[in-house]
Amino acid sequence: MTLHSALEKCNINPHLVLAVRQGKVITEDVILNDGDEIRLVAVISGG
Amino acid sequence: MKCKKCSGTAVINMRQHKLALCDVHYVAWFQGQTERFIQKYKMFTLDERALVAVSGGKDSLALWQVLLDLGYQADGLYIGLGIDGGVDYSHQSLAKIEQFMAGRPGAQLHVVDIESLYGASIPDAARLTRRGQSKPCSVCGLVKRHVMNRVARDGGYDVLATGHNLDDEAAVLFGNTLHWQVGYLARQSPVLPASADGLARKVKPFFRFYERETAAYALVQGIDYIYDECPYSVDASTIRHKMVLSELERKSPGTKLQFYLGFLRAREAGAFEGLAESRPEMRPCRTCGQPTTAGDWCAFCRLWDKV
Repeated sequence: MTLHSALEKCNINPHLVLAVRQGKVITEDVILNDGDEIRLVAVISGG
Repeated sequence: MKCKKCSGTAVINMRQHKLALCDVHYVAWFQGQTERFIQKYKMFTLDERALVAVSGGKDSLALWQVLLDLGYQADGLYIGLGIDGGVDYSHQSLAKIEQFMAGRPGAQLHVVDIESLYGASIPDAARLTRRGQSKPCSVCGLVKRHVMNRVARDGGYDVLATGHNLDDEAAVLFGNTLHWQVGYLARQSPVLPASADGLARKVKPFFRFYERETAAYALVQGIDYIYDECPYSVDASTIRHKMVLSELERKSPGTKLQFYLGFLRAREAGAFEGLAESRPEMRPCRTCGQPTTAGDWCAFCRLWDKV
């Protein structure tokens, strides 16, 4: 499953997050492997 | 996905530009674009001194770093608002800035602590006055505008730079359009010139970057910024507008950029001329000397008189 598919499955707008795997920012087409730990960083701030 | 420049592994894919880049080429692209925007919109030059408003967040720290890397004379300004929110928000923010500066010997920072200087934090000032009974955001904005202008003016800076990005600008534009606030529409701009009566020139060098791009730059560069949001920004209308626009962007890449650049073109072509009320005459405040449209006593000084 790609990162994009995983985000869609979780109903997360890919425009609102960046994904980091093993300290590296990854793009949405990256295929996730079993056991991967993905950190999602929210990009929207303000008020 | 491959980097368009070198075929290395891309860290970001910017669908609105049809451009994917690796970390090295993304940093170079981001810095180059910043330089291009500064020159294209005549924001400031290498000979001028810029004061960068830094909050500890990704946009302002990234802006400060890029300006320093590009060789601009850029000093920082941090305004301590005294916000706790259960996460020691203001102290954490300043800690991030100090950490950033540790890797930047020579970077100069002005720190203005509101409570030490005026006797109350922003949340306390909001509670003690009629301005901002429910939320301190109005008081916060008023105080920040005043302090930024004062420090820029007193320090002899040519320009005040803030880290506002495209999502910030598009959200404000969206809000102003929803309510047809033509006065605000007529004045919204990435460059506000200095006024003869004492308002500093204000610029937003990141105004064409998506928020996602400034965040990616900060992450790729290893800038350790404060992830927590201001606790008072929960349910802020700006965030709601950003979410709506990002949903449109999801279906139609480039929507936010087209929305804002189309607005700037319309504004440039005079679409809002004559719609905005002319700005009332500015006079120096009798207490602080800063320009004000509110008679001879500015809103900032009136606020603190009530605290």
